[in-house]
Amino acid sequence: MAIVFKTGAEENHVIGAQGAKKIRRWLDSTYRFKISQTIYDLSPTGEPYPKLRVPQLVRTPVDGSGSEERFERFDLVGSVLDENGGTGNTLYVECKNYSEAGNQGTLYDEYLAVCYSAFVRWSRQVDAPMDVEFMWATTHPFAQTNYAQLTTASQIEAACAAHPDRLGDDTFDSSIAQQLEPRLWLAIVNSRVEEMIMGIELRKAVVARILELEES
Amino acid sequence: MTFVGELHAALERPHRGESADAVHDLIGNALRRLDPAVDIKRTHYFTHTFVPDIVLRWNDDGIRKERHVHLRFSVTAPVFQQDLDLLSSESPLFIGMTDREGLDAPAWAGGDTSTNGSLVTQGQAVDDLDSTTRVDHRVRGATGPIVRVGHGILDATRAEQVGGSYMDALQAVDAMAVDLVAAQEHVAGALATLHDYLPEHGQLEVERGLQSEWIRRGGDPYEFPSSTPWNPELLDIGALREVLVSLLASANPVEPETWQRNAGFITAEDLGRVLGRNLRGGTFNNMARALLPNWTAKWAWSERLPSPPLEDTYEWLVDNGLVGIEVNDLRTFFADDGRHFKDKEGGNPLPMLSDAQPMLSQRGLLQVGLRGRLEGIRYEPLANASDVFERIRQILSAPGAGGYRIQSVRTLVPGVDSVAEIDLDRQIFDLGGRSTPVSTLARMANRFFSRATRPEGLDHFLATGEAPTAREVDAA
Repeated sequence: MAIVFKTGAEENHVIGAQGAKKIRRWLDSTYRFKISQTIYDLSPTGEPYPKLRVPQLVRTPVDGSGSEERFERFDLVGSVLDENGGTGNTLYVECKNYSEAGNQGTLYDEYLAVCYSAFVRWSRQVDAPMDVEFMWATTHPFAQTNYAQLTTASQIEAACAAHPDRLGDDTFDSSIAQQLEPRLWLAIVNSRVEEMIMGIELRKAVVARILELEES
Repeated sequence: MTFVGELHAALERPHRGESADAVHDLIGNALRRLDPAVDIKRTHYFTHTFVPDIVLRWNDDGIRKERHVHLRFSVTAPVFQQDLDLLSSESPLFIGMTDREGLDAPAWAGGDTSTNGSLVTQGQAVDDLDSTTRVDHRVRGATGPIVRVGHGILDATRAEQVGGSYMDALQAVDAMAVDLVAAQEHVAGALATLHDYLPEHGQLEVERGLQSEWIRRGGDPYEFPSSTPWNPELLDIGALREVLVSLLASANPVEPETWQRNAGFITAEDLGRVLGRNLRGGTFNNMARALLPNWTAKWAWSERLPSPPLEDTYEWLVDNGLVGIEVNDLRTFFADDGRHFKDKEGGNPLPMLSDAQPMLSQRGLLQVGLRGRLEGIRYEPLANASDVFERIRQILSAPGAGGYRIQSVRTLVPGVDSVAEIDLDRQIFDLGGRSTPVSTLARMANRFFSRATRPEGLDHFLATGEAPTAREVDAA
């Protein structure tokens, strides 16, 4: 089966490396996430690395021939850390560097459908809910009237209904959406939130302690 | 496959954890090859914004130092400026792993390429330096300081210049006997190239490394193109040690005046500490012979070996930080500070008074402490005895005096205005705080403690630094 690397909307998306870097810096500064790669970290040939790709469900062609693989790329990939810095689930982050709400509501629905599709694909491979989490991290809030519902199973269902192509041959499964719901993060990282990052001296002390713990 | 090839293959590994581990291994090993003096500690963070990927640790004259290594995919992109802003106050080492361009005009720098003590480099530059050290491992004299304290921007082009100029300098030093001027020019060129990437203490380290190589190849330190005129007295112990050890390791004969110029100001007390290692015979004999006229001590301690060696032994040595001499069955150490010998225990076999004629046969004896079988120690003044042996015969003629042994001797030191208190039980000389030539002390130690040394042999060794042949001893 030929693998077609889908050149998705990500490359065309208007988010600069500066925005991704800013969100990454904030996530790293919490020490509850550690991001290891961004979409702007390119290979020597100028290509993004496959580690940022997530697989998607695909529809089987009517002629019965093998279906093509389909992927979507996220902006950041890393790990969720537990309270003591222990490495947990893999985390994929979609970064949005906006100065207003813009069309984030529409894009967010597609993002949810992509997350659902990837989660189903992976969980099917391992025959269990996949140890993966997803985050939408934006510099500006959106869908304020529906904000509390944005990471719920019902919102996932609505998103999949709006983007049926993301389900491939599958039909929506609400039990899977229930499993996905606690794996979704929504973060608003505006400039005031950035101010919460600790200063150099305190950070040095924290890093020194982390290095001590790494050796113990 | 080259280091960069392996690095790129590691980054292509699909599993994030495996990929990070492989990258850390490759870069850690490459840095260790560039500077074997550093300990490499990997973390479990990969390209993290704040936590380093690798921590380098080393010992700098007893002070533990460290440097963080932050890996980045690119150090040419404009966003790298954020990393510099956040982390440069700690002067880390940044390595760009997948850059396609060099760092001639990085997008983040604008007109200002200052890095606040950080070293910004790339995988290809590490590869170039690594290749150069594989050609000649001595290039680590330059790559080591760069890894530990280097700063600025070092891309592949500059790394090639750095490694190349240092290797040229080494080769010119190797051929110094043929063309001294070329050696001086290449060394000066290498130092100038490296100075752009090193702080002052790093520059000094590189300079000393090249200087050591210069000296090892038989070069005169005064002809080395150093940044300041050569004055060994201004060197710290580490630098002085490097110079002296290089001279000791030199394949060419070192002239006595070279030893005098570079170590003539070091006392016998300090020399062992400066050299920082145990030494015995060989080139150290030549060094000792050249410096012996300068050496004095206020204390000496001897230990007698259980039995004399089958062949005569004459060697200068440094053991446990003290300068000493081994002559056949006797090893004697010299010091200005008597605390070196305060824990030396007694119990050495004391010579019988009746057998002590050679020991007591010289002028200047002031007092002998005698230990009898029944009585304790008896101090017998001899300063006014016109004939010491007549007096001793009188002592021995007394009832029960046949078992007297000599416990101590108080004597004038030949040739100098000082008195030696000699404890034969502990085999220690106390010169009462007066500096006394080491050569004199060596002779006295052999006279009082050795049972297997002919003074003529020792005199020959002290004068020439070479063990005498049997014929030479007989002739003397």
